[in-house]
Amino acid sequence: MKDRIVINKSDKQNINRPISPQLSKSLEAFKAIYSFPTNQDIAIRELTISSLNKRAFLFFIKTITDVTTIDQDIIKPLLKNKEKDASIEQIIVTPSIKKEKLTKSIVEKINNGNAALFIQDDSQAYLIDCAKFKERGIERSENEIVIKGPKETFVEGVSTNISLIRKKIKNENLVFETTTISERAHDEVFIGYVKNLANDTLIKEVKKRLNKIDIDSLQNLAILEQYLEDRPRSVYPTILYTERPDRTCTFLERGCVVLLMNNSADALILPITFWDLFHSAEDEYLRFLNGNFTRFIRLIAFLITVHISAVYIAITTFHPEMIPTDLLLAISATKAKVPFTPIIEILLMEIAFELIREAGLRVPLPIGPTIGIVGALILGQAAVQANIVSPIVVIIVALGALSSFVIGDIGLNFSFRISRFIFIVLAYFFGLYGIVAVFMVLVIYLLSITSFGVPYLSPQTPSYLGSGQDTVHRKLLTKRYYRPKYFKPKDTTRS
Amino acid sequence: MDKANYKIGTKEFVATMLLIIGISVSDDTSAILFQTMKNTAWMQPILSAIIIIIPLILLIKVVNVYKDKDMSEIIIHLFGKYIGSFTLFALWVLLTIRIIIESAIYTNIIETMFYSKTPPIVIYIFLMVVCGYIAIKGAVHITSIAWVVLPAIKISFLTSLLLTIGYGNLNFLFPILGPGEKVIMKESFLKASIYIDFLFLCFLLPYLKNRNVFQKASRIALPILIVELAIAFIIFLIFFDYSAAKLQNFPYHEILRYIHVGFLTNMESFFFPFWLMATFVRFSIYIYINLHIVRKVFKIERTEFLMPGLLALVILIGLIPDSPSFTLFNMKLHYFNILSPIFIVFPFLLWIVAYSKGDFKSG
Amino acid sequence: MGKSLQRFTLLVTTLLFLSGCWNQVELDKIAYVVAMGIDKEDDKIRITYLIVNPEYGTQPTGSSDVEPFAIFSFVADDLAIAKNIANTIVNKTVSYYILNQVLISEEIAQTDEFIHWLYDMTKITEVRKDLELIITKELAYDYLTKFNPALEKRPYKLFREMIRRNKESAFIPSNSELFYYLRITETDNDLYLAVYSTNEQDGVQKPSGDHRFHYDKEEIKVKGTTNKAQYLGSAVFKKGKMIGHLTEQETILSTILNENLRGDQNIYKSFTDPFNEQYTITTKMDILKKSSINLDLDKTPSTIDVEIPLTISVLTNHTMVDYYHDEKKRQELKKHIEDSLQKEFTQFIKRTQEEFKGEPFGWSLDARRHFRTNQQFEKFNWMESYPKMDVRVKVKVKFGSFGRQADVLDIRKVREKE
Repeated sequence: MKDRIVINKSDKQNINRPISPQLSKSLEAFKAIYSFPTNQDIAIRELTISSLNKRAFLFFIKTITDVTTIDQDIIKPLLKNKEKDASIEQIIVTPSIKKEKLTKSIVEKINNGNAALFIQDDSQAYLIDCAKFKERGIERSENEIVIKGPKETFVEGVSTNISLIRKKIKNENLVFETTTISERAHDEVFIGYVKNLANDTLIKEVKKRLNKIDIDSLQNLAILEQYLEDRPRSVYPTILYTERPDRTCTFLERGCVVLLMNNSADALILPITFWDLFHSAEDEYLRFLNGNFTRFIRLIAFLITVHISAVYIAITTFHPEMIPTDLLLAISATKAKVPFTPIIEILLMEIAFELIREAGLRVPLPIGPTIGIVGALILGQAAVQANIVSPIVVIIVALGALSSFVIGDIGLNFSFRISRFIFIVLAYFFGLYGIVAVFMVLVIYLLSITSFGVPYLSPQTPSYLGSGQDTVHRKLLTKRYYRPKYFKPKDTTRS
Repeated sequence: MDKANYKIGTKEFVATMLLIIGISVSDDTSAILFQTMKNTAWMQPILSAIIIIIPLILLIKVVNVYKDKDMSEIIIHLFGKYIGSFTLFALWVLLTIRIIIESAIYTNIIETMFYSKTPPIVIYIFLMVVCGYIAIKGAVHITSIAWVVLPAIKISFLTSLLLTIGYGNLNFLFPILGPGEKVIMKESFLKASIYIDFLFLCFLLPYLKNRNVFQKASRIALPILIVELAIAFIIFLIFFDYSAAKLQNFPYHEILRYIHVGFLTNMESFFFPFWLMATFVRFSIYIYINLHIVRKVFKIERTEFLMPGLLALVILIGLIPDSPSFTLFNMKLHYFNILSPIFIVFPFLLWIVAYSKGDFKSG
Repeated sequence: MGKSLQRFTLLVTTLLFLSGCWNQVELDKIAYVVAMGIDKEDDKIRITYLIVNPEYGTQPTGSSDVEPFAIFSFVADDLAIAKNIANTIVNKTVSYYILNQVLISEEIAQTDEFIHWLYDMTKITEVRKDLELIITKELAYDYLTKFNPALEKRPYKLFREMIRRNKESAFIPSNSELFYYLRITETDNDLYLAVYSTNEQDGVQKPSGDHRFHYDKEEIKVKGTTNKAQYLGSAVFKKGKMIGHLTEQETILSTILNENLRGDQNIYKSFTDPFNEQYTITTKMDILKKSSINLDLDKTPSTIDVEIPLTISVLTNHTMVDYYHDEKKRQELKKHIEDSLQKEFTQFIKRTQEEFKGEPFGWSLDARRHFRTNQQFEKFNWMESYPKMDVRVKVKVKFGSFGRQADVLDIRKVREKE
């Protein structure tokens, strides 16, 4: 996926040179770089600073800068300045001014929303930060819904996201580093961690992997996730992808590392374990019994969604003696009318449900409910009455599909749905024998993968003293003294 | 193999012991005991444990003295290069025979109880391939998975035993001395190899967190195993009475075919998955230890390439016996009888040699 | 592992899957056998299957042209090949998933070869050991062909419920399943009791003794539209062969004497009223405590002292005796019941000792406790020694309730006024 466009050699040479002190020359150069006047949103304001008796021009991109700031804080003071020996830094009243010599860095900064001030006979340009990228307001979370707890989500602007995080962790040790990833688009990735909690080896490893990425442009964090993960082809995710700041903060306080980017209304969290993906933030917000109840339901949902279709096939084809007599005769009677074997029925229904699910996601809002009704009608009533599937298969597949929604994390959701098909295939060939075999293979596979060095199924196995055993059930919050040790944080006590 | 960055803890090791030795209630071990010890078969786990406790303690002592050596190195150190290598090779042969006999028996169980129309070779290959895949992942992960599945297996086992309440009669245990004291003592001695997996598990020493794990795990696992085996055999006897019990090939599965809970009539398919999980764990660890010994004896580094060869060997030899129900039963009977004296005497030998070398004083 | 090796293994494994799936069944292509009948026919056996139609009762419109079950009968060499032969006349694959009754005609049960036929059952994987063994007076084929229940058209439910209910009232023996047959025959110390049943109009054979308390069809004079099959009494087996038959009253007695049976019985028994020979008293007997069976095997002849504690609830009182207030009357009733029961028990036990030469109560299990080794027990040979033993039965009655309303009116006072 490396789309490398050939850059003109002369452009390349120009870009690496320092700017010329001659105003007209630098003006020409920059006009050429930015294709002015073809490029409509470039603004060039030529002015004369009367007090210093110099000419100057201000170069900025209209659409991404705050024109009011430029007006009030740059142009006005420059024009109205009376003092003869004032330096530019003293005239301009914006919070940050930088000076750059190289064309390349100036271009980079202008692209990021700075306004560049070129002054006659000055070999440096002054870059004033007045970026104003349009972004969404902070909204309710749509994909990770909780009933009890904060409902803010990240937006596409990194500063807003960082401010949301800093709203919770008001700690001077919370550090946000940046690295630039791609060549062409100069995408910056922000690495956030709590300095005295996160493991140094971990941070080094993250930076190492980020630097190894060699692409032209990075769209957003979702793509970054695929470059960073331990095993790209694995069915189970090893990096957490969340849109909630409160979840992010929980992980930061455990010693994890957070990755943020512009244009991504999410955060990447690493390292994580299977149980982190499995739990939802709400488990902790609910009271002890309620939280455990929810977890228990989620565990049942997990077992159902992965196994139920496979178990149905296994039992009805290999082990019919297990079914209670009345049910056995009922299934036998309804099956007599259906032309397909159980596996074809199940696969048909599963695929139909996946189609409905995808369609439901993409359908434009006005027609949404109609599709839902049509789907239910088609798959439910009509299919059964037309003797395409037997009613019990509809129940089984519907139950499995519904249970998969209980798992909140989108990565894990897909994993379970894919695993389900593997189970179904093997159940068809070997019945319960096959299901157990796949299960064992799956568990040992999960045990053997690590996420940035942390075993995937911690803390269930490798047991760490004081990890709180936060797997299927959780403990009273007052009884948890230690941070989970598998992230190897520097400070292991919570209090 | 063995890419994990952590070591086996006590929990996982205990789980492994409980699974691989405890699962012998569900195969024909009990049938073998019922044949010879009749209604005193339940005494065997207890008496055999008493007999092997001293060898076990000696074994632990020897292992603890050489804290930085693993089992094969200890043997070579104590017996010298030639005898030591020969001993290791003999152990390897014994282990391979054990794998072959046991896997053939378990394939037979799966075939007769659940999959009567499937050719045994298919069941066998499937079993071995899955166990091979699990074994390649390394000892650490196998013991971890033992810990993960242990609760489910033990709960299902307990449930199945609880459901037999009310079906049997305690009087079947009487006459209390059954075939007579002489027979009881002789058989307890000859069948002590029920616990021989303790010896084979010593080969996992380098992967343990520290040497104490082995000692602690044995201390926890052995009492539990004694109780579990004894109670299971008592329940079989109460259920079947010894003359019927000795006719069954696999008493545990026969019990599963009989019990019912309300409307659920045939429950054996319900307990089958849990038994299968324990089976997979057991053979995975056997295969792993097998390849581990190969690595030490023949000094081959990447033994995972030998896996297909080993599996093929096991499958091909395992399928040779003509009428599996009888042949394998007898083979196992004789194999047990041979293995027990070896298991009892071997730690003594180790200890005597270590003692005479004076390693106990300096260690 | 090299890439090519991985791919090769994957390919080979896939081939394995493509070769077919052997153990699969298609549920709608199975004939579900609920009851099986075994008769003797020349040198072979005649097997009759009662096969259920799953589609019965599943039609939403409740159409009645769907048969609830069908009967197929044929001659086969043995039970193992029966399934194969059956498929020459049955259109679906015969399977025993819901088989829970085997009807065996008396005729074949009384032969020496019966045990050979029955052991074939143990070799069939699908057969469960909790099959009910039912001995029929007539041929099993006749029994099944006349099977026509009125209220309950689903045979498996009918069988299960009838048997369960009758076991509760102890009219048929409780431990009559195939499992017990196998076990008792193999240990060869006791007698095995199977359920006895008949579908004939004139009921089970008449016993000797007081007819008033016999519930045979003839006595009950069954009328109306109902299933004619009746489960009553037991068939006695020794060493795997049927040697006799117990009436339901005797079955009740043997159930009480067998302390190994699970105590969920609802036994009702009638006695003559001590205060008026014309009337009978019906009682409900609960065995709340275990009977004590004391064996003294050192004496010759060995003695067995059986003490049976019964809690009796008196449910009818036609003579309207005032038991509520009169302690003496209660004692009299108690003694009468105890005496009657003891007489019945003694008679019954004598019958087992003389006619059957074995006991169906499981007393050998208690005897086992008195021996140290199996060899000693086998030398004693319970089956041979039992007929010579001196058995004494003592019944201890404790009164429970006298019904919902314990006191009855004083009939004499009422009649006086006439």
